[in-house]
Amino acid sequence: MRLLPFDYATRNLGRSPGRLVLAVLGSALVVLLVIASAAFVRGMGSSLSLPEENSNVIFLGAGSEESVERSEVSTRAAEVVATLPSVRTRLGERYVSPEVHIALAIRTEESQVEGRLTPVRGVRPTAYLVHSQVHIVGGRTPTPGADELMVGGLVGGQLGVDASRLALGKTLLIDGRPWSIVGHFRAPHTVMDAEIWMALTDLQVVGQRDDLSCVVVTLDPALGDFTDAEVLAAQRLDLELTAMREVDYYGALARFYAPIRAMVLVTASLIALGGILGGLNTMVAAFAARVREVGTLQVLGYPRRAIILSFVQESVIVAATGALIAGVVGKLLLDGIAVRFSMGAFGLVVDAPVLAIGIAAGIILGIVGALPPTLRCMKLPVGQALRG
Amino acid sequence: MSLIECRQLTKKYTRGDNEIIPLDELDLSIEAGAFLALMGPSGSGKTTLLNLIAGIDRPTAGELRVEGTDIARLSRSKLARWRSTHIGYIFQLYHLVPVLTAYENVELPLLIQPISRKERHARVAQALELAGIADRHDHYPRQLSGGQEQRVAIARSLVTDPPILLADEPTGDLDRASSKAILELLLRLNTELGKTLIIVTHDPTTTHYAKETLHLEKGRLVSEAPPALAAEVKSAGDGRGERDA
Amino acid sequence: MRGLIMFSVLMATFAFAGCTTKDSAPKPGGAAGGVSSGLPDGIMLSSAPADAKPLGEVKKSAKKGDKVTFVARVGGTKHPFVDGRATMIVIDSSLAACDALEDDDCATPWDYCCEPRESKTANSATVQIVGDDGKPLALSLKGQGGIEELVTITVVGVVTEKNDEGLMVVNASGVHVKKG
Ligand SMILES: Nc1ncnc2c1ncn2[C@@H]1O[C@H](COP(=O)(O)OP(=O)(O)O)[C@@H](O)[C@H]1O
Ligand SMILES: [Mg+2]
Repeated sequence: MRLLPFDYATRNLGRSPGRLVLAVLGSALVVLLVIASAAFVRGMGSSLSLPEENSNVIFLGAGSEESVERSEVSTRAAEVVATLPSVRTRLGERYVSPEVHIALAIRTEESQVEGRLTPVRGVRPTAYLVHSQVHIVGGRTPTPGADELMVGGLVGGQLGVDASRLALGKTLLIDGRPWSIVGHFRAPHTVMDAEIWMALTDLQVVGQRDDLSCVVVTLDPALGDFTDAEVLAAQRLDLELTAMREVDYYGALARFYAPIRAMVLVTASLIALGGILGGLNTMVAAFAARVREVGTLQVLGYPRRAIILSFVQESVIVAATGALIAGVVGKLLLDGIAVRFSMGAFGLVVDAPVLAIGIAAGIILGIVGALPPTLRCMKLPVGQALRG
Repeated sequence: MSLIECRQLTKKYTRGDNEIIPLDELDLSIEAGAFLALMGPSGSGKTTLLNLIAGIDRPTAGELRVEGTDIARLSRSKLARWRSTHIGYIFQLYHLVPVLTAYENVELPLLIQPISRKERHARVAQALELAGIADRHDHYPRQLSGGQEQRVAIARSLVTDPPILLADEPTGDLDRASSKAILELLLRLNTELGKTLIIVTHDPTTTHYAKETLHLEKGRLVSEAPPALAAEVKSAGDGRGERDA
Repeated sequence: MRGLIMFSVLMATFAFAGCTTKDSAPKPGGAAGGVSSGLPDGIMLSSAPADAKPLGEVKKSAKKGDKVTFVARVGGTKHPFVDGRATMIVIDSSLAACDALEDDDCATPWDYCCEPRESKTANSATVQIVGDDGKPLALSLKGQGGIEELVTITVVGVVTEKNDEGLMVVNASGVHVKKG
């Protein structure tokens, strides 16, 4: 096909720098929005989904399948669960993690306002075996009885405070009582990243309870499967337990939040549509000023397709530039930002697929934005276009 | 056979109930090497005729052969290709592409021809030379005067070496001195290069250069300018030509 | 876009779930005896044993090793069946399931969510059908001979586990499903 040179498109963009800047920023804004919503959906989704190979089972109090924070499991039940033959064992350690989960109002020392409700998990050392996604990135694990705690990577965002307030050695107040931060951990793309962890017995004291919220065990696929856990729960009615795959537990949560995700997607698409329409308007004006040029090019022998392609090129260059800016800004500013929601927080995830969605949205924006005004422009007979 | 043959050539526009007939059963033969001045009041169908010959518009009825080709029968894309080698079109308002230099504007029609970069360069340089604007090859349209812009436009119409040049009021927007220079340039193209030239004009001085002058009125050829028209042409002739609607 | 896809997948799931629910609904007139697949012959009884008592009453006095015959309904928990094991949970018929309380938006009325935990535990039992190794057979009881959530059954069997905290496991030698 006989095409217009590529720099015909690029040079035309330089015609009115003001409009060019506006167009680039406009599409950057639209794409940033798409990236933000994709990052939201992806962040929420990944915090509630676990790797396929996860073979953890959560034992919850019967009837508390939906919420670990409402669940009660007796210490005796935990002891029985620990004897399940199919539990994984390594170097003599059994992968059994009795846990207490309570949402507590937490505030920093400097803060005067009432603390924010933050998920706190009381654990034994086996928790670090069972929850292999948790990595200690600074300091150490809290010692029982020493009023110590450890914070996850998203706790700052969850509390709405700067990371410096959560440095090692700093103090957090629970019910007015000071707890010192002795460790930092990360568990990216999981709900744990927004949690505070302390010794199991300490949290039992704080929460004034002597039972547990749940027992999480890792099964050894060579020794048995989830059915064994289910049979145990079914046979031991006296323990009042329910066994759930950890994957299913978070899957149910994810389904619970699906409407929020749908809402975010719908809102984002509406705003993006508005952006496209606004962009269309600018394009119509910009291209209408060039009907005579289109006529001239046709008189010179250029086929319509070549002219359409060149105009679309122009618009895609603009939108893709905007998309690149949005991608960089999104990666730098949005990635990892904590979004609070009822059960803690999750981090926005701006990763390759999200960026790809953003860039794709930019390119679509460019094409969809350019085609209608271009085609409208082309519909005019050449003779009339020249008179225009 | 003539280079351009019009038989009963008719162009009609219908808008609701009323019909506009810019060209009404026109018979016209133009020989190769002609230099034809086409005059007539505004709205008499001059541009319409040029556009038909250039294959920009299609006739409603009648026959139009250029070099023996019935161009009304060509598909749109064939027509575009045919036009790019047979017709050079010069506009009153030059229609240069503002973001391209003089050189690049002239090069534009060649980019769709299957020729080497080297040959392209040679032909652009030659066309600029012929049009007497080679020294301004790297200027942008906004850096050129009207007369210089029209020279670039003429170079652009020449660069594909078409046998036919069509000019729609090429001096209509120019002062007297520039008009004269442009007309002299066009005359040279006719005499030295043998281009067939059809110029639509309001400027009576054009007729001094042309070998032949035809008058159009209401879509028909009239043998001579009626007195009223002659007066109008005269008053319009000094300086700026009247622009089409 | 992804939302749309998710949405349609969800819809498809619902549509599919709707179909399967219909298909797996207890078939009227399904004979009680002999139709079960994989269960040992004679487990599914065609007529109800005569001397059956309510589960709650039996549980109060039963000891490990006792031979018992009781009437109960399948349920008392959200998942009364274990997928792939011949184990189910039953509850005394005198307790009110959620649908009986006109709790119409309850999707799982067999979980007896309106009953207090203690009374559920005190009136429930685990019924299993074991193989020669003493472990539950590797098959699901749901659907066997009309066994479904909230169906009333009569169980004949031996108590193998029992304590005062609510534990009671019965290895069944006969199960009769009440029709209608
Ligand atoms: N696309 C069109 N639709 C309707 N009428 C048209 C169109 N193009 C030209 N005309 C009419 O045709 C007539 C001749 O126009 P034109 O050829 O431009 O005249 P000239 O060039 O001699 O001034 C005018 O009345 C003009 O209004
Ligand atoms: Mg005209």
